[in-house]
Amino acid sequence: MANLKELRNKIGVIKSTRKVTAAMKLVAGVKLRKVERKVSESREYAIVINRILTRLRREFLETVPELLSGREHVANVMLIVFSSDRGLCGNFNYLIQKFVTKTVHGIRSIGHRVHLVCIGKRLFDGLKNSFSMGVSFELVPDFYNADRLYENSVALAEKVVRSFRDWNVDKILIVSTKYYSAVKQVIETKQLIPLEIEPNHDETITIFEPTANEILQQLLPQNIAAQIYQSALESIASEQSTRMTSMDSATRNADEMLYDFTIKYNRLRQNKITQELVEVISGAEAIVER
Amino acid sequence: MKVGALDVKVLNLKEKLFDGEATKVLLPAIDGEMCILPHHVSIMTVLVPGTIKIFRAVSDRIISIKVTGGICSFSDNSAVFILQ
Repeated sequence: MANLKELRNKIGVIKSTRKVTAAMKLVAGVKLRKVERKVSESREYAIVINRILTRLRREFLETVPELLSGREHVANVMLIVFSSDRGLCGNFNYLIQKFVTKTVHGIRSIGHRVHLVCIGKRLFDGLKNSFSMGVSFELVPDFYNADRLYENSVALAEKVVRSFRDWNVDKILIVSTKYYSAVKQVIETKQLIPLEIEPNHDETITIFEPTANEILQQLLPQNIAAQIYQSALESIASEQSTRMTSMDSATRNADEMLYDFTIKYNRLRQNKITQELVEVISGAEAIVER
Repeated sequence: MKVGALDVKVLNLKEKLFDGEATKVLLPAIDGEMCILPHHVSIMTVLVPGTIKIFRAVSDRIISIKVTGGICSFSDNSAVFILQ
């Protein structure tokens, strides 16, 4: 049985851990609220850009640009995966890692090579030793820097377009956690190239200035940057939300432990006092009897 | 919607710069400055560096937004600007 000093130390440690988890929960909550607003605004941008692309798509029934349609023969697939740089966010990174492993095995089984672009150190560390042949890795460092998130997304979009045009990448996918609400986040795969566009039944005649092709040339890289930026924001929101939930349950666990240990400590302390009293009284009685 | 007005939305990736009604919009299109009035024919154009001027329907204020590039799409009496 633990002695009083050990229990006192344990209670002290739990108290300070509780303080940390409670503070982390608050910080994650504030960050989540900030990023939630950005997520909804970037979603609107992505919806509008997709609507414009749908209207443009009708103009290219025969000669669709490669950046929109992709290549007929696919040999290399690029997977851009969003995870987090920091831990203590429950099973957020583990779920992505599991999902990516399954996706990569799926792509490998049909004979394609995979290039993984990891955003977030956690996933890179977790995955780098998981695959052997036909999978290459890359880490985009410091992507989630709050001041440079937009610039980093644009830079990554340029790189993605370059690797499609100059290198052998034929298909590009994004894997990220979509943020629905504080209690619901779902890992989703989004196809970046070829782009998935809903069929358009709108028959309105549109004037294009200068030409539909030139508008598309400008819009496609802009769309890729928008998709990357939006995925990054959704991933940050999901991470913060998972962190908030897990820190909340950690705080509650700490409270329960604190309660148990305090009761144990008090009982032990009371026992000790009773024992000492018994000793004193029996000693006094022995003196009186003499 | 007010009669003789059009919906205008100006978006960039980071934020929504304008969302409201206007009586007309002047924009720096690739072939020169363009004016969009309510019920204009559907049009899509590339923007060049310049200023978008939005003549608000609810007041006499003119809102100017500097742009470096982007796309303007007008259909169903609604103009949407997607800025770079």
